[in-house]
Amino acid sequence: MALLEIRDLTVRYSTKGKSILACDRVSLLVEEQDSVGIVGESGSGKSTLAMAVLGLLPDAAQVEGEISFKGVNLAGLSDRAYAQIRWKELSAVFQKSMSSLSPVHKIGRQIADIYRVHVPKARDAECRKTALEILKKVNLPPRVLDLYPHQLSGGMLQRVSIALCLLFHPSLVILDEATTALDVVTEGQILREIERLQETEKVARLMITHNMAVVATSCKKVAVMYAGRMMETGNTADVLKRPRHPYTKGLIKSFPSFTGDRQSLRGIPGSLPDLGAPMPGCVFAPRCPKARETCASQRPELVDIEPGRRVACFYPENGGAGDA
Amino acid sequence: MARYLGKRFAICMLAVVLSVFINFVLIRVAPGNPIAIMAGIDNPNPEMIATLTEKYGLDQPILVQFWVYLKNLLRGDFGFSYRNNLPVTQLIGERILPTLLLSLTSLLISVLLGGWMGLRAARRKDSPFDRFFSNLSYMLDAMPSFWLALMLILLFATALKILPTAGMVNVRASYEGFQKVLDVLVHMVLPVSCITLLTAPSYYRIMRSSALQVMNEDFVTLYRATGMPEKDIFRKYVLKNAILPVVTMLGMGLAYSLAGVALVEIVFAWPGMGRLLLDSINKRDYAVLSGIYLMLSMAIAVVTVLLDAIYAWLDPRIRLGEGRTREG
Amino acid sequence: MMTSRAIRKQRFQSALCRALGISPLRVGLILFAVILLTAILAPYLAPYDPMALTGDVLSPPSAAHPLGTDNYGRDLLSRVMHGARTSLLIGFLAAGISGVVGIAVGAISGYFGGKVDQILTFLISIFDMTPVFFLILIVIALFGGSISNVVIVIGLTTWTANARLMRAEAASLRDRMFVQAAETIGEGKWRILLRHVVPNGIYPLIVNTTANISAAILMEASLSFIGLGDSSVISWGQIVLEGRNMLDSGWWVSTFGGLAIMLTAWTFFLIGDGLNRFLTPKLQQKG
Repeated sequence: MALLEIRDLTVRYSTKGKSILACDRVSLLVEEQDSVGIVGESGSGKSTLAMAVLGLLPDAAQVEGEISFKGVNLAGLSDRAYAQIRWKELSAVFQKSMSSLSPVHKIGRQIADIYRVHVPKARDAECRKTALEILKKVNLPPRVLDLYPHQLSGGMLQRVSIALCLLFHPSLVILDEATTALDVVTEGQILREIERLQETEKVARLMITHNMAVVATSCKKVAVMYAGRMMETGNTADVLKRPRHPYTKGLIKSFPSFTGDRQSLRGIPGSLPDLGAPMPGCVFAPRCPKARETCASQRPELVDIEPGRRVACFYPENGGAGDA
Repeated sequence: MARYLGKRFAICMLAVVLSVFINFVLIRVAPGNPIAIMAGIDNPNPEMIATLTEKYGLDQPILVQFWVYLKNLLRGDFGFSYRNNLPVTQLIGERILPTLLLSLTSLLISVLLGGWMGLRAARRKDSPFDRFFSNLSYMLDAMPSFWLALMLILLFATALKILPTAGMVNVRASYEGFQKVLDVLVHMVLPVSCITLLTAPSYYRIMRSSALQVMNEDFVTLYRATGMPEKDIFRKYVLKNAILPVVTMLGMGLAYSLAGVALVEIVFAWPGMGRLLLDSINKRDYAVLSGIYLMLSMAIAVVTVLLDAIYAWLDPRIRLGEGRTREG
Repeated sequence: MMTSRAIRKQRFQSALCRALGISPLRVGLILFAVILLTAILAPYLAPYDPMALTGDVLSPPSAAHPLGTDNYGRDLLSRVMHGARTSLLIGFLAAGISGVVGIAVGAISGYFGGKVDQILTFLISIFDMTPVFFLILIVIALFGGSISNVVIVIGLTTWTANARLMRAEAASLRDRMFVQAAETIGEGKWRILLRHVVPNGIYPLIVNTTANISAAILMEASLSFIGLGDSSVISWGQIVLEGRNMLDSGWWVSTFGGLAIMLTAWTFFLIGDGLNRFLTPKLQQKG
């Protein structure tokens, strides 16, 4: 059984007659100890997806579909039931910011408070011991415990966040743009840390990012989202070498590569559609160089075109980086 | 932290200097004879003119006059009220305690009450509680302080007769000791309630908006993701973060609330600075007016510096400086 | 890229559409219309001459005198209606001066930046800390309480909030494309300030100005109550003062006088709050 299976997840925001579909029948599969990267532009729905799994969507969001985590449907789960799995089975690392952690409390105190959420009677000594253990896992010195967040560099702060997410040895960790706000060098270091930890902690991870390179270098599987819909999923190596969805192809071409021939960078012409307007056909059709009549009127479903590879397109590419 | 405080201190000092400067300039540009204004009498006799001219160097060039003025101030001479035949400092000194009693009590209650309500409103944003108190806060802000005072007297003292109309003590009964304290307390109820009603709304709003802002911060999302109960998040994390901006705002609102206190004192015939103010206005005793203005400027400056120091101490980002440790 | 005029037009149009649907704003605007009309048409609408001594001295509210009469027998309703003229006049003018000074200081400070900004910010901070009410008291005591004096001194002492808001807007507008485009073309800095920065940065100040109007009206009322106002015109604060000695025998005088002040100040708060609600989403989308 898959660790996390998202089936036809739809997240809708309704305001004054207008309905915005942040996620539109999205499906995704994450196995135990998997490393899946969800890639997409802003507005693709990837963060909404993450928040839906974490149960942190605002009250105004209407959720339909199924989010099956270890057999339990998280969609519509009660707060109390959610509290049981939060952080113990399912945790998260968010984008580094000025307020990733409370600026007026020491790191050690915050780790202890989080520890006590699930171990309420823990004594100070136990909290401290646990905190030191997790800090060691991410190669941070003990003195970090007595520091305030603003006294740490960006990389160190993210390490603390990563250490925190592993506090209770969860089965799945969601990293939402966890390395986005870091400089490139630090980003690389943190990604290596994350990969290493995944090995030692035996945890599955879901990485949300807009940066294809992050997925390319650190995730075994990739899922490409656009305008709230899933476009393509598969093994990273395969998808990068032979993208099947025109959008994925365009996305890859718009990132420069260090190796290989010099190619001209091509952005994808056009812009995101209005998520509040109904779109009967393929949501990428207006911008797709290969769009045909069916694309405008019928929605392509996410189907297996090979084992382990799913695409939502009526006329998928047959692979080969050569065509324009 | 030292640099931050130093800068704030400089601003406060300059604010006082500005007030001093304004004071100095005003009597000299106002219509009428500066000497008459300083004396507070329309037609000062030659003796008085001579005394004042000598004391303030009025026959000397402007800069010298300013210097003399400053020197006097630094010596604690805030002017002399010829109407009352007392130095201004003494006049103010006699009245300051009742005023402090009223204003500090009201300040404490309004901050606590307004702050607490504001926090509750933030937690229940857009609820009936929130909307009711937000609307109420606007209505209270729109009330003229002196009118609210009169209405309270009308309702509780004149109509219901459960509280005294005015004054600080019941002059007819000469209470001593504990009875006196009780008497003062009873007399304090209406004025303190009045001032609290007038000043609490702004603390309510500040606290509410501060808490709402904190609730949108990333670490709140993080704590929710960990399964921490909302009330714990609020109590431990939102509270401490939200209080910081309120401390600075406390200082800013001070200058405004002083006006309210003065007017309420006047209406309740409280034996404090308010009454002194009114008397001096009626008698055009400029020396007292300028003395009060200067004293208040200094008081505001001192309180602001104190509040800034408290803020700097509470916020670790300022207390410990922005120094970052290197990658470990 | 949109021209600054186009942006302004777009903002205004969508703002207007949303404005008319919001209730506190609607209530505020209706009240404002009522007060304004009363003020303008007072000489015609008022049932009696506000100075006339009708026979009924200190009579409670009745059909003949809906708000009662004062101790001289003057009809209170008429006096209150005429008082609206004083309050609105002073409120608008003082807020206007406060706005102009605030915009000037803030725009220059925010747009030019550097040393100018530092000095002006210092000035704003210092001014914020002065006990404004007492300063006004002294000035009025020295120079007399005529309407022009009151307006000028209130205007010159309450501009700091406007300045801060304008400064923030100017500083962010400085980096926007249409401003940079204008600079590149070679438009003079002062022209840019007047034609682009100020008109586009003015929105938060509109809300603040309503608060300023309320504050000015309250301030003037307080001055009149202490006896420092213009005694040749009818002012609500003055009415409350007159009523103070008759609290037990003629409670209606102070009550209705002050109620008028409160309703008017509240009206402007409502308008400001309503404006705030629908201007804010736009303001948060900074270019």
